[in-house]
Amino acid sequence: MILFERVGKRYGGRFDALANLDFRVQRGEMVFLTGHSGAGKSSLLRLIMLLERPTRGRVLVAGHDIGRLHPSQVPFYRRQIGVVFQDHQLLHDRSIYHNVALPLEIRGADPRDVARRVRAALDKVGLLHREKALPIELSGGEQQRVGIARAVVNKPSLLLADEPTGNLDPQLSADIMALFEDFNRIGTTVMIASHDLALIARLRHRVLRLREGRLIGDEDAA
Amino acid sequence: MSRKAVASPRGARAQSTRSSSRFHAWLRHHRSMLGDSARRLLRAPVGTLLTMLAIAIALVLPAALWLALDSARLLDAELEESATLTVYLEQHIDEAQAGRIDEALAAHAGVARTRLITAAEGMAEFQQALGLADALGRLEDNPLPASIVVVPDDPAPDAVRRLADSLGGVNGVDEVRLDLAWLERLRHLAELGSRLALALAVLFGLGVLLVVGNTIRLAVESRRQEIEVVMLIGATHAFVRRPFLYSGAWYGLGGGLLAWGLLTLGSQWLAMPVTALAASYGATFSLPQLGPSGSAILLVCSTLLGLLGAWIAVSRHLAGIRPR
Repeated sequence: MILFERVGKRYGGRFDALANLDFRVQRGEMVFLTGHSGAGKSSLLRLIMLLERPTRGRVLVAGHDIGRLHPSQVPFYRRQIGVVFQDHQLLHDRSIYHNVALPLEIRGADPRDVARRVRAALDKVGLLHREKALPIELSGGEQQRVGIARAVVNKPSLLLADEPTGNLDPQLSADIMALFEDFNRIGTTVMIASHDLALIARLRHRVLRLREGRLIGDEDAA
Repeated sequence: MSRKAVASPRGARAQSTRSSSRFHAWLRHHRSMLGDSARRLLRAPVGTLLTMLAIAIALVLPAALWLALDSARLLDAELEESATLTVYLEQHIDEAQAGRIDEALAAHAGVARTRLITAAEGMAEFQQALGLADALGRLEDNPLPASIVVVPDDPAPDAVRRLADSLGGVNGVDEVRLDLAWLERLRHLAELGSRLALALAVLFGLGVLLVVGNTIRLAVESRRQEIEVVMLIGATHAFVRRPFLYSGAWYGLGGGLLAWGLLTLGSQWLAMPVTALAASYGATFSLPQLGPSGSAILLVCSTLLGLLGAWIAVSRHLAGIRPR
């Protein structure tokens, strides 16, 4: 699903955020990406989301060299990936329902379809009863679940998450991870950047370790 | 790696439904943005009104000047029709001789018609016009010569001037007077005015672009987070641009309507004194109105200007917004 070939990312001609990355993630895998802050976790995800382009090497997603996508194709590429952000990135002037519906509206989905799929996604994260609420009325954990619902409402084949449990207590974090495992179980490839080592260790999935932009460990699920 | 390409633009296209339903989705988004942008403007009615008023004022000035020129052109055409030469006969010519000269001039090439004003008639007209019957009545001799008013075939200034030269050579003619100078002056003024109006229209059109552009720039800035988020989840530039373009068009249309209102109000405000003034000169003259086609042009131009201003502002700013 994801293939990095000798990928490097250098900022400002000096600082190597990522260097010589080689790894492959199979379709349907669940992978954790870990390392200290500044190790390059976010940079790696940004490369996959095409928020950045690598300065060296190739990134292939689903067999396609995404570095060769024309800028006008990038939006269509991004629609195929669900992304969960640490700071949720919800729109505060509209309800939970409309936040989750946003990816479908961008795609121009049929309105009847939208309602059905938004409710299904909200139901999955246990927030169907809050669909009319504004993001500000929700707790941090609930907002993160709305972010997840928005990421999966398109039924992406690849789900990326950048520190999705960053500000949550251990129980909520475990709940969120369980949600990701649910999506992985139905075939979604999931890649989660996190520095919550204790939680990652308990979950027993493949772990990619980064340090100073280099891959220093690739441990398969125990 | 699986060869089944799902996470690719080609996959996206295959996955997305047929083109007719895509067209419907596009239309739906346009409709919803049309309404959404209007609602956003109405949510801040004072700010919206002020922006529209600024646009309206920028439009009113060139439009009013244009209308004024239009009426000047009408006036000019009327004057051209009445472009005449006055042929003054020599003092010693009597009425019979004057009649013969009149006939000769009437037969002259390039002359449409003539009217003889004998010395006595001239005196009577003069007295009436000036209300000096008593003072003039005391004069022993009539100091006025007989004159002939000549209406030329061709009212163009050059042709009239040539005709005047040839009429000046006719026996018994003392002097040919043409009142072309002030006509030409008027025409130069009209030309000056129309260039001024064009320059003003360009300047104020630019002003409208700036007003709309600046307003839209602020709107883009205030919705920056939203723009970043929708771009992160796959919105195209066109999708992001759309609501702002509609806002710009609304601003333009609103400004155009206000300008139309101001022009209508202004012409009514001026109609009474203008009619009275014209009546005092024995003329009927009414201020020109925009009319249906003029109104349509005003509204279409203002809407397009709004759209263009928004387009420039959004395009400039979207280039600077990249999702984090």
